[in-house]
Amino acid sequence: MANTELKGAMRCLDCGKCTSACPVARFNLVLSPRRLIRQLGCGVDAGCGDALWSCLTCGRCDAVCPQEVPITAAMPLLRADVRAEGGKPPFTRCGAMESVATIQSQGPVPQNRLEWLTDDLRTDPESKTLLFIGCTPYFDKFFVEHDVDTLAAVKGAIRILNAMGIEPAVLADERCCGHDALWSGDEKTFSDLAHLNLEMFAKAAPDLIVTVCPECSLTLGRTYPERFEAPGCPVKHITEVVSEHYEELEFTARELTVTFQDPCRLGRHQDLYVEPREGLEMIPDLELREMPRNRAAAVCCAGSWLTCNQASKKIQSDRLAEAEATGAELMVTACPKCLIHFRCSQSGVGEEPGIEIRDFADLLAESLQ
Amino acid sequence: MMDAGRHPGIELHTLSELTGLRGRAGAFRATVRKHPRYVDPELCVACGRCTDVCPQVRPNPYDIGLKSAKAIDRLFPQAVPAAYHIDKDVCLNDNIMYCERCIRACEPDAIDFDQREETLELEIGSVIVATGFDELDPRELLPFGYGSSRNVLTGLEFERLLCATGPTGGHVVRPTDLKVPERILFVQCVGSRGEGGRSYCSRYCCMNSVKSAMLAHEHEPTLKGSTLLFTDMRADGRGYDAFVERCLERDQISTMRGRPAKIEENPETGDLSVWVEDFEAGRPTRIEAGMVVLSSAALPAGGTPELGRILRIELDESGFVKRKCPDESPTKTTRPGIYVAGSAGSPAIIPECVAQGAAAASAASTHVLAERNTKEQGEHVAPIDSSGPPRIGVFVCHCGANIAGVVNVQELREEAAKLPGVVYAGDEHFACAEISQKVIEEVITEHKLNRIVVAACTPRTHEPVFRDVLSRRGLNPFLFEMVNIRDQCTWVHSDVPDEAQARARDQIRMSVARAARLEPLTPIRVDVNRRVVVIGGGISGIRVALDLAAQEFEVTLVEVDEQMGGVTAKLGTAVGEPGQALTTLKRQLKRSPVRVLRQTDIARVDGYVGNFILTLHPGEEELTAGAIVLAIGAKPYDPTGRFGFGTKSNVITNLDLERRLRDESDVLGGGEGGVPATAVIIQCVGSRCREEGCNQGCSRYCCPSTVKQALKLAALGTRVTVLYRDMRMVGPGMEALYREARGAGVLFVRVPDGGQMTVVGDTLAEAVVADDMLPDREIEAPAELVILAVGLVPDNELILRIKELLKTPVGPDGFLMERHPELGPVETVVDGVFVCGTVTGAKSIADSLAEAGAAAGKVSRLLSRQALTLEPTVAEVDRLLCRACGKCVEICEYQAPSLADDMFGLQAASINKASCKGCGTCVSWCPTGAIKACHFTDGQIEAMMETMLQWEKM
Amino acid sequence: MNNSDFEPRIVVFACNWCSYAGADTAGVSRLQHSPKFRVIRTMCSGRVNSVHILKAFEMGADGVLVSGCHIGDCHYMFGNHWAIKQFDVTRDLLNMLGLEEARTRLEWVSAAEGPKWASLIDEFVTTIQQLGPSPLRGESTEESFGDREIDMEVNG
Repeated sequence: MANTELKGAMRCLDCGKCTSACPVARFNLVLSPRRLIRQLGCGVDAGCGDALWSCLTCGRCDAVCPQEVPITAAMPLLRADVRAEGGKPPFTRCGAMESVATIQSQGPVPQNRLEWLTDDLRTDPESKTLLFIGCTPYFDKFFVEHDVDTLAAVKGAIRILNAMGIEPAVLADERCCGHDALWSGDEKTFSDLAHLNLEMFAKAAPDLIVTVCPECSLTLGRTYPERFEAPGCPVKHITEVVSEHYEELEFTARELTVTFQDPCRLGRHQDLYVEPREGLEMIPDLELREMPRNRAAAVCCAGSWLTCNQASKKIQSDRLAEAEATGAELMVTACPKCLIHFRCSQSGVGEEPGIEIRDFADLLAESLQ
Repeated sequence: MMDAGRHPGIELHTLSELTGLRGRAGAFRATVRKHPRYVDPELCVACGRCTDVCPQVRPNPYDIGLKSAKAIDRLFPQAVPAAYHIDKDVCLNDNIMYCERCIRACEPDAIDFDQREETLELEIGSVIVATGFDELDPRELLPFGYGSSRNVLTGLEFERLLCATGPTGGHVVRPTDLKVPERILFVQCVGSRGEGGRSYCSRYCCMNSVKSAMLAHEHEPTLKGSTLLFTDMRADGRGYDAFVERCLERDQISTMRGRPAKIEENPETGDLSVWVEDFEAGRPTRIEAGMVVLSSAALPAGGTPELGRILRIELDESGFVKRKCPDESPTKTTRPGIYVAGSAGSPAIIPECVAQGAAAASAASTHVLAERNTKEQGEHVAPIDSSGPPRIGVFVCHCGANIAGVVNVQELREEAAKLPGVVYAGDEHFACAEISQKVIEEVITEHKLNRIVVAACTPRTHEPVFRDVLSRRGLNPFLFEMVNIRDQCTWVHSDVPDEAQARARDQIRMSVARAARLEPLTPIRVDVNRRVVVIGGGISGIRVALDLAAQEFEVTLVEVDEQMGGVTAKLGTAVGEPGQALTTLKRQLKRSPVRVLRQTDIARVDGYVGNFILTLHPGEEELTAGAIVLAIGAKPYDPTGRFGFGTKSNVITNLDLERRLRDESDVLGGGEGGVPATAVIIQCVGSRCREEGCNQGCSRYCCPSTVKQALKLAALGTRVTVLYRDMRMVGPGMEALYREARGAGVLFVRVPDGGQMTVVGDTLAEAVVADDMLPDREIEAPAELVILAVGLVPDNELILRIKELLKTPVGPDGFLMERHPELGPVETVVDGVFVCGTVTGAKSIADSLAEAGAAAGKVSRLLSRQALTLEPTVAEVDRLLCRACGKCVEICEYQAPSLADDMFGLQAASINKASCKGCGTCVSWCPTGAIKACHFTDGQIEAMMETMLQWEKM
Repeated sequence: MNNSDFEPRIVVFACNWCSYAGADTAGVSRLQHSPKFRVIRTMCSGRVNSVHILKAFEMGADGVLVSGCHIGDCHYMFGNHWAIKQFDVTRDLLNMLGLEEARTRLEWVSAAEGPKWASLIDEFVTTIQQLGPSPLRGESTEESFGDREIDMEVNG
C-alpha cells in the first residue's frame, strides 16, 4: 500500500530511543514511533492508523535518534497515503479549522480578515516588509470560548516593527500557509494554498516576510522551496527579527520572572532556541527561568488537531505544572497553537486557572519604551 | 393523540357511544354503539382526494362554522384516526341520488357505504369519564348580541381565528368585512359566576383571553388595542400571574373591571358599543370596539345526564359528574370503579386535566392489575446479519396519486436502482398497505437486503410502521431510512412537477447515501427495580404512597419531620373537609404495607431510572428503588416584620387562626377566651409578589381557606372584612361558598394592585387602612384581630438540596421544574424521578391529590414492566479520544455524561445510555470528536450533504 | 453575475420535533413553496455544528438554513440555545471567509407553523437567488495543482 519509500527508515536499529522520548507514547498505548518505522519496512497497513494520527510530529524522536531516521518527516507522507485510501483523521472540533483552510484553498475567497486592525497599528500595503499573520483572526473567532487572543501576537509584532521604523504590509488575501493540511496528509489543499500564497508573494514582491507563527515560517521558508518554489525573499519568525534588530529596540524595565516554552516548530524544526531567549532578555530586570525540559528536550503543547485525548491533556497539564514549578509568573511562548492548547487545557471543567501564558511578541510590545 | 392512536394497549372506538353498563368494578360489561364511518381506517391513507371531489359542502363544526367542510372530510389535520369520515346527513349518496364521486376517487378503496351501525360488548374493569365540556352558546344571553351581531364571537371561535391552520390562516379579521378590527373587547364570565343560574367559575377563560389578546397583537400589528373586561383575574396556575403581567406590559392591551349589561351593534359599520360602568365616575359608559369576544361559560358536555343514568353515577348541582371526595381522591365518582377526569367533573385548566387523566388511569388500573402490560410484547425472529457491504432496497411509494400524480415514480425507481449499494428498487401503490408490507418483507429475504429505504410520506408517522416490517424479518430496524417525498415534496411542489421530481430524486439519493452508512443498533434494556421511594409525607406524598401500595408496589415513604401531613396538617384542620381527609389518609397509611420513615432525610442518590440507590440519613441505610417521587411540598411564608406581625400580638397568620378555631374557645388569643367583634383578613401576604422570600405567583389555597375561615368567624358573630386583590374561588362548590360568605355579611373589599394597606394602632392593631379602588380614597376597617393569609413559598434550602441530589432543574420562581407544565406535569427531566403537589408551585389540595394520583400512574407505568427498553439512538464516547474536558457534562440537561477515572488513572467521559435522550448537542460540542451520535453520525450527515452537492464538483 | 439560470443549492437542517413537523404541516395544508432546497433531518438543532455548515459551503452550497424549536419549546430543554452559540461562531468564521451573512440563517419554526415554514423557505430561496452562487463555491475550472510527485525521497 505504501506509495512512499522511506529510505532513511532502513537505518533504524530498533533501539527504541524514539519511543522512550516520545511524549505521546508515555500515555497513549497505540503510538510507538519505532513500531511505526518498522511497519514501514513492510509497507504501511491500515492498522497503524490510530498511531499515525496521534503522533504530534513534534520532532522529539528525531532529536534523539542515533541513526538520524527522519521519523517526523515521514508522517505527512504516510498520512497522505492513508487518506488516499479513504482514511480520515479523528479531527478535533470535527475538522472545522481544516474546513476553513479547504474553503480558502478553493480559489478567490473575498476574506474579511483584517477587521481587528486599528489606527494605532501602522501598516502600509505597499511596504516591502510583509507580515504574514496566518490563521490568527480565525483562531480568535473559533476559539472564542477559550479567549485565546492569538491576534495579540500579531498586534505585538506590528508594534515591534513600528518601533523599528517599519510599517509592514498586512494583506487581506493571504491564505492559510497550509501547514496543517500538509501535516495531516491533505496534499491537495496544501498545494492549492501554497500556490495561492506564492501567487500573492509574486505580486507583492516583498523583501522580507515576517511571521508570528513558527508553523508559517517553517512552511513558507522551508517547505514551499522544497516542494514548489521559494517566496523570493527571506522568511523570518518575529523572534529572529527581534534578536537581529536588538539595537533598534528599547524596553522598559520589568521585574518579571518568566519561563519559555519552546514551540516544536520554532525549536526542533527550525533550530531557533537562542533568538527568543535573547529577545526576552532584552527587557531589563526580566528574569528567565528555564524549565527542566527545555530547548531540544522541550515538551510539545500536544495539539496537532488530529487527535486529542487524555494523553494530550496529561502532556499539557504536566507541562503547565513544570512551568509553574519554576516559580515563574508567566509562561511565554512564540506560537499561537501553544497558546490555544494550553489555554484550552486550563479552561477544562474543574481546572485551576494556573500560570498565565503570553505570546512573545505580545509581551515584548507591551514592554516597549 | 398520536401516541394514543399508536399505543398497543389502547383500542380506540371513535363515533361510538356507551349505551349500557352492567356488572361491578373489575368486571364490567359495557355495551357500545358504534356508528358507521363509511371509511375503512385501515385502508384510508388520508390523502384527501375524496374531499376534493365531494360536491356537498357543510359548515365545519371544528372551525365553528367559520370554514366549510365537505360531506366526506377530516375536520382537522391532526385528527386521530387520520381516516376521513362521511356525514351521511349531508352526503348525496343514498339520500338523494347516486353520487359515488368519492368512491371513484379513492384509490385504496377505503370507502364503504355498506357499513352499518354495530353494537359491541366490551369486558372491562373500570370506566373513566372524560367527556370534557361544551361551550355555552351565548345566544341565550340576549344583551351580548351574539348571534345577531356577527362581530361578536365566542372565545373558542376567536381561538380558531388565531390558529395558523384555522379558517383565516391565523389572521384576526372581522366576519362582516374581513378587516382587522381597530379594537377588540374581551368580555369575561359570560354565563359563568352567577349568570344564567350557573354559579360556578368556568376556569379556562381568564388565561385564554389574556393569551388570545397577546396572540392577536402578535399576529396583527395594525390592531390598535385590546381591552379585557373582567371581575377577578383568575390567573392561579404556575407562572400565570407573570404571564398576565407580561401581557399587560404591552401598551395596546389593557384591563378593566366590570361586566357589560348591553352590547349594541352599529348596523352600517358592524362596530360595537359596549356599556359598562366607569368605576371612577360610577356611571355607565360606552366602549367602542370592532370586535367583541365573549368568554362563554363551560357547560357539562351534552349527554352528561344520559351518561350519568347509564353509569349510575351522581351529577353535581351544576350538572357535572360529581366528585365523591375531592379532598381525598378527586377522580372518584359516586360509584366504585368509575372515575372522572378533567372538565367532565368540573371546569379545569389543561395541567389539571392532564394530571387528573393520569390519576384516573392509575386508579382505574387497580381494577385490572392482572392485565397490565399484556399488550406490549412481540414475537422473536432470527436476526439477519447486516455486517457485509450494504445491499440496499429502495421502495418508492405512489401513495395513489398523491405522489405519482405529481412526479414520475417509474423514473425515480429507475434512477434509484443505479445508485451505489442499491441492489433492488421497486415501487408500491401504497407502501404502508398490509400487502405492500408483505412485499417488502419478501424482497428483504429474496434479495438478501440489509438496508431499506422507503420514499413515501413522513417518517414522523410512518417510520415506526416500516421499522416493524424490518423487525418482522429479523433485520435491525435502525437499518431503515425514510424519504419524505409526499408531505414535503409532492404536496407542496405540485405546481412545479419538474422541480418536485428533482427534489424527490435528490432526497432519495441523499437517503440512500445515508442508508449505506447506517449501523444496526440494539435497543437498550434496563432492568427495573419495583420498589418506590416517596420523599415527603404531606397529603400528596401519602396519597401517592397509598396509590402505589394499592397497585402492589413496595413503597417507602420518607418524611424529614416528626409529624406527617405537611402544610395540610397545619391548615385544613378546623374548617372543611381537608382535615378530615388527611385524618382518613393517615389512617389508611397506618393500615397499608407502606414503610414509613419519619425524621429521616436523604443524604445521597446514585443510579438512574429503574435503578436508583438512596442513602438515608441518619443511619446510612441504602434503599434501592426503580422510581423516586418528590412530594416535598412548599412552606408557609414567614410574614415577620410585615403588617406588624411579630410586634403586635393581635396580628396573626391564617395558620394561627386555624389552630384557634379548632376549639373556638380562644379565638382572640391571650388565653382569656373570647371572640373578636371585628376582624380583618389580608389576602396575598407573601404571594403574587416579586420580593425575596415570596411566592411570585398565586398561592391558590388561601382564597378558599379565607372564605371558609370568614364564614366560621361570621358564624361566631365577628364582623369580618377581607382585603383582597382577586378572589380566586375556583373548583367545585367554591363560587357558591364565596356567594354564601358574602351573603353572610362578610365584607369583601378589593384593594387595587399596588395599593397600600397599613395596620394602625400603637401596641395592638386597631384597624387596617387600605387604598380603595377609587383614586385618593382610603377605607378603614376596624380590627380586633388582623389575620394574614400567608402564601406558600418554595422551601429554597430543601429544593436546592434536592437539586444537588437529583439534578432536577429549579424554575426561576424557586419551585422545582416539571418536564412540561401541560404535557408532563408530574414528570421531571430526570427519567424515573416524578413530582407531585406543591413542590412544583402552590396549588389546591384537590390539584395536589390529582397530581399524586398522576404520579402514581406514571410510576406504575414505568415499573410494571420487567425491564425498560430504551431507544438506542443515543450518544457514545470513544474513550481513546476523550480528554475529559467536561463540556458534555456542562451541556447535558439529563446528566447522561459523567467523568470517571480509567485504569491508567486518566479521566474520560462516559454516557449513561439510560439517561441519554439522543439530541446530539454534546456531539456538536465535543472538542475532540470523541462522542458519536448513534443514527445521526457526522459521517451520515456529511454523506447526505456530499451527495446533494457533488454535481457541483464534477 | 448572471443569476437568471442559476439553480441555488440550499441545505436545510430541520429538527425532528418542531421544524420538520412544521414542514409536514405545510404539506398537510398543501402550502406551495419553492422546491429549491433539500432537507436533512436531525433530532435537535443542537446537533448541527460548525463543521456541518462549513462543509456545506466547502462542498458548494449557496445557502444553509438551520431550523429548530422556538426558544423555550426545545424538546430537549436547551438544545436550541446551544445551536445559537454554534451558529454564531460559524457565522463569524464564514463572514471572515467573505460569505454574505444572509446565506446562513437560524430560524425557529414550530410544528404548527406550516405557513411560516413555507414563507421562510420562499424568502430564503429568493434571498439566495438574488445573491447568486456562493463566493466560496470551489471553481472546477481552476488550474490543477494536484499533479505532483509525492514519493519524493526524504533523507536525513
